[in-house]
Amino acid sequence: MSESPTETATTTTTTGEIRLEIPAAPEYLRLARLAVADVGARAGWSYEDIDDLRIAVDELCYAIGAGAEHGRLTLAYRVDGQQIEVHGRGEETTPLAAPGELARAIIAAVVDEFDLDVDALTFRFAKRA
Amino acid sequence: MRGLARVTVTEQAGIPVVRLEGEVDLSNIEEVRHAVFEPADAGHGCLVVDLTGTTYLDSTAVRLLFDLAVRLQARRRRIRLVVSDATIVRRVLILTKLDESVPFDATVAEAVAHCSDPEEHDS
Repeated sequence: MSESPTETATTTTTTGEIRLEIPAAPEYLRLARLAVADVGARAGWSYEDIDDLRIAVDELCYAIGAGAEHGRLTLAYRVDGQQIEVHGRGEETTPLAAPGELARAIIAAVVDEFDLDVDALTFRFAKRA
Repeated sequence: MRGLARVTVTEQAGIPVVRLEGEVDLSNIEEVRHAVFEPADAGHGCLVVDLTGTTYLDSTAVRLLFDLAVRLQARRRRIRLVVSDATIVRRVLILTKLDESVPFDATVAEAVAHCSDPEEHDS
C-alpha cells in the first residue's frame, strides 16, 4: 500500500543545511520545533537561544498555513558561523489567519530579523547566537 | 486530549487549581481551552492556573490565557498564574505582557495564599 504524500515527513541533510518537509497540519509543528532545536543544539547554542528558535519556527509556520490540514510545508535550516537561518515555504496550504499582534511581538522579540509574506506563503528568519 | 498536553483540576484550601502539563500549541489548543474554561466557568472566587509543568506554549496559548483572565475579571473573579523562573513559558508570557494584567506566583502554595487573603479580595 502506498502512503499518502500528505501523511509523510521527510528530511534531507546537505552540508550546512537541513531540509524538512511536513504536512501542513498542527500536529507536525512539534517536529518543526524539534528539528530547529537540534540544529541549535548541534551549533552549541544556549537553551534560551534554542527556545527562541523553537518559538520563531512555530509562529512563522502557523503564519504560512501550518494549521490548514492540507498542503505541505518545506523548511530549510542553515547554519552559517554564529547565525542560524530558517526559510519556510507553504505549498497548497492556506493560513487560518494573519498573524496577530501577539504573534508578531513574540517573533520580533526572539529573532534578529524576519520576513513574512503571507500571500506567497514564505518566511525567512535569522538569529545570531 | 491529543498527546502533548494534560490538564488536571484539583482544589487546595477550597481554591480550584488547574494544572497544565506538557506542550500547548495549535494542535491541542481547542482541547486545552475546553479543559481550562470548564472549571473556570463552574467555579467562583479565585482560580489558580499552574504552568510549572508546561514545557512550551505558543501565541494561541497566550491568547487563551488573556481570554481566560478577561472572562474571570468580567465576573469579578480573580486569576493567578504559577510560573517557574527562567523558563520558555515565563519568557513568552513576559514578552506578551501578560504579567501586567495577571499576577504571577512562584508556587501553588503562594498563589493559594494570595487567593485566600481577604484583604486582596477588593484590590
